[in-house]
Amino acid sequence: MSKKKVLLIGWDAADWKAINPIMDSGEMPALQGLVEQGVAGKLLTIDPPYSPMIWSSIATGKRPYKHGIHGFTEVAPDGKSVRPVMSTSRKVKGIWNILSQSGYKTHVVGWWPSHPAEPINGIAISDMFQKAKQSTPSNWKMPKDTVHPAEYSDFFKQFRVHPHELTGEHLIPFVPNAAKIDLKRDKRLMSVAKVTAEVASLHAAFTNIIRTQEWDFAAIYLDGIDHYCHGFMKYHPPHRPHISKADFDLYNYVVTAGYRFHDMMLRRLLELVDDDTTVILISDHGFQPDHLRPRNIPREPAGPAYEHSPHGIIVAKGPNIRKDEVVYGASVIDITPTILSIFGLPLAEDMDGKVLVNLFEKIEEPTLIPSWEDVPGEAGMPVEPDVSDDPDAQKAMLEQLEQLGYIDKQDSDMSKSIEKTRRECEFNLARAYIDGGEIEPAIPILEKLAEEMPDEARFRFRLATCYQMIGDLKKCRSSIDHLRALDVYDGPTLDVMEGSLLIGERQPRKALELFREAETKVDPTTSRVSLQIARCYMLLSRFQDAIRALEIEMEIDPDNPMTHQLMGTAYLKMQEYAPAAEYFLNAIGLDYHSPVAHFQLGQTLYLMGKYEESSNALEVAVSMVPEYNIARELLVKLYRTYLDEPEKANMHESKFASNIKGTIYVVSGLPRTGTSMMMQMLHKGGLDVFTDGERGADDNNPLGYYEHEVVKSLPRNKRWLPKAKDKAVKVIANLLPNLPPQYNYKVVFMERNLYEVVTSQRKMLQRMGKSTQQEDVLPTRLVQSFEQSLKQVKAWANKHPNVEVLYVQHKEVIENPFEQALRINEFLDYQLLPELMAEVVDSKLHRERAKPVEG
Amino acid sequence: MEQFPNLLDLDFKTTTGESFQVPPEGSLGLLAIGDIGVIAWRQAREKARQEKLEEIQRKREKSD
Repeated sequence: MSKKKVLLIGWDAADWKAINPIMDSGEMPALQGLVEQGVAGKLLTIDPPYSPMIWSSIATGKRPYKHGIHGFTEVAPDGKSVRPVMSTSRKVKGIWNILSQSGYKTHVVGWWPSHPAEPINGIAISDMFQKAKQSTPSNWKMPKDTVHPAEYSDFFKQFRVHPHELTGEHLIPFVPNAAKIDLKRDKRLMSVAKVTAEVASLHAAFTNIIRTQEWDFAAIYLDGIDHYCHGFMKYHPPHRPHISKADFDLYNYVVTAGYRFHDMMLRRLLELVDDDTTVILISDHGFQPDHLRPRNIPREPAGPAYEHSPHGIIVAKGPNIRKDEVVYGASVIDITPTILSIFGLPLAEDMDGKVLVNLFEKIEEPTLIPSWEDVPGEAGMPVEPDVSDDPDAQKAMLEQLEQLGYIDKQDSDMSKSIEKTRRECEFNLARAYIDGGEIEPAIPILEKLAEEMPDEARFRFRLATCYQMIGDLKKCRSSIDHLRALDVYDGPTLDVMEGSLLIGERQPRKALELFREAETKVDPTTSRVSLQIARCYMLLSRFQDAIRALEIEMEIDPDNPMTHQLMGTAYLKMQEYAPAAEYFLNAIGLDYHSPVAHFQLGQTLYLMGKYEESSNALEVAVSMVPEYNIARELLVKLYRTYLDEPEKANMHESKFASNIKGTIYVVSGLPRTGTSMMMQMLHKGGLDVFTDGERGADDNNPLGYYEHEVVKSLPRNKRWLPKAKDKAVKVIANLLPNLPPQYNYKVVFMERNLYEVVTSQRKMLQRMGKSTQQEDVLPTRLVQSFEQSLKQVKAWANKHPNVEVLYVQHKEVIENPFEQALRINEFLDYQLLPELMAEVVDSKLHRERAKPVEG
Repeated sequence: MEQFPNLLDLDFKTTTGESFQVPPEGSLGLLAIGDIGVIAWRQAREKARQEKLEEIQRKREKSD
């Protein structure tokens, strides 16, 4: 029986957009062969796109808020200094720990972060192995704990290549006219030597291991491409006007040569593995080779990361890997679950990634355990080193991070450096939460940062975005106002932010004006203004216009999944299902981890009559979000009505029921139907109410409005619903269909003669000083529109098993308050005091009575 | 762990299959070979250094 082996190769920042032209010209034959013999695709990164955080997510299958690596540097455990992130900073097991404890021979070289080397069942070489610091070849020491087992340290030392050892033979392939360079003034050639020597050191050690040692899993991480790109992508063809011609002529081949060198190393690795080995080549993010790369790097910590693109690469080849296929929807967090499945090991529920099933010819259903963290066994987790072990090595690493621009220069005042580092880690943690869809835990972190550093616009900007996402538009607006006052962002940039806020407030016309105004003044690649314009048109139901705006956005960046998803939505709204399905598929291909895109695809396929395919898409959506009850509802319908699979229908029906998180009591109706009065009745009767008290009593509603501002954001923001559980909340009739099926809703729906409604609304507008139509003209169209709206709401209520409605006539409440209170109390399971409810009603409030109908 | 013998007698081949002698200046191709390439390059470099020393020595002896 063949032995399962996995070779994992990491190329930091490798990007198809840069690779494809080089590969097409025949200069990357090894990668070309790998692609042709296996599967290839894009690998979606996570935010923030900082390598140590991402490579730790790759190695753990978990997002940064679970694995604990929150930046490039961190405050040392004693709280007295700053250090580069280390293997001991990681709170959870890496794939090499899990495989080690499962009895597999495992080697890992150069991972970021990986110092001190972890005592795994194999050889570990840390990311301090290759750093030459200020040394010369003769005095180049190796820090303690760089190699595990420690007795191999001297042996592996011999494979390190010092930059000073390199000759013209090594560097001329990168810079053919290197001889023209004045090395005293221009340090760029030296940086090529440094990167090349570092990569060569790790590769030499790794080739020795896989050539001479037994192994089941071997992994190497190389950061060369990232460094070549940060240093030299600006000189990569085509020549850009802001780059000096002399520099371009000298350095235009560095990036290509860097990729070629990596391809040569790949070729060697492929020679060293047998046919039983699954080879997986990945990058953590891409690197913008084109117009999407910012011309100026923002002056903030880790600013160079703005040059990264969200899509890295994945290529895989092996005995059970499909051949010459494209893989869609892969993410960096999927790598560890996928490797576990290759070894037939269980997946863990606490991992965020999934198995990339479409990599394989065939795959067995994996078993599932709660967590690998609880599985006992010698996993070879790293041990915190004595800080006094090698301060020079840490210092050198910090210096390198400074040189790369990933961290600010360390302050001479250590306490300032510590504070700065803590803030950066907290900011990165908040961003990681946001990226993982966990907005609530991000907010207090950002609030604290914004308070500590009121002038630091980026903290406040993220906070404003969070407020918007949870529908706290008031705080969002106040944050934007604060940003305007800071004078950090220019007017048009703030207009774009303001426009996004207006979209959140469902004021698309005003937003559109701002976007159109800003359109010619902001950088379309970073502002995504066309995407925002499309969003406005979507809200205005101008779908053709939205499509035109999205087409512009696609020309700027064809790889943004959101653009494809919006395009699909526009076509879906226009009932053009074939293109809609295609765009949803594209969106999923670019970002598989979007349950909404899977749901929309399922919905579209259902409308196309493709029931089997629809159920597949919806199953993916519910596998990602088991509480996705709208998807379950459609699945029940599909299995019961079209696919004749009653068992599956029953299963989803029961999961639908178990997903219900409680009951929310909703008071609804058209405006001026007595909803505020009903809210007060429920409140007086003993039910808690969900209001913000912002809109107090006035002449139009002497009892107060009993509203909550956040309810208006219901179409896009449902995060407030847990706060409304077991409470009464006022939701205007036309928003009801936006209530998600995660709760049971007991809806007290107020009805009133529509003539009275219209008249009351008019009076209210007049009292507010707003003009209305002539009083005695019955606005037939308005009444018809209300009738239509009521019809839709009633249809919605009838369709959903989690919605119960009690229709209450306004007139009846005014005339027989106690009787109606009894009826309502019965509907609400006898939890109220009807006599107190009835006390609220004041018949004098019934000012607009229906005119008698003649004839 | 494996100790390296004299690697210069190995038949190193380019990607197009042509044999080549390990140059003392090294090459990217040798770095890409990994451990064997690096050690062979250092051996070639050392050999060239020795030869150079010997040559200098011979010249000195001649001039003496």
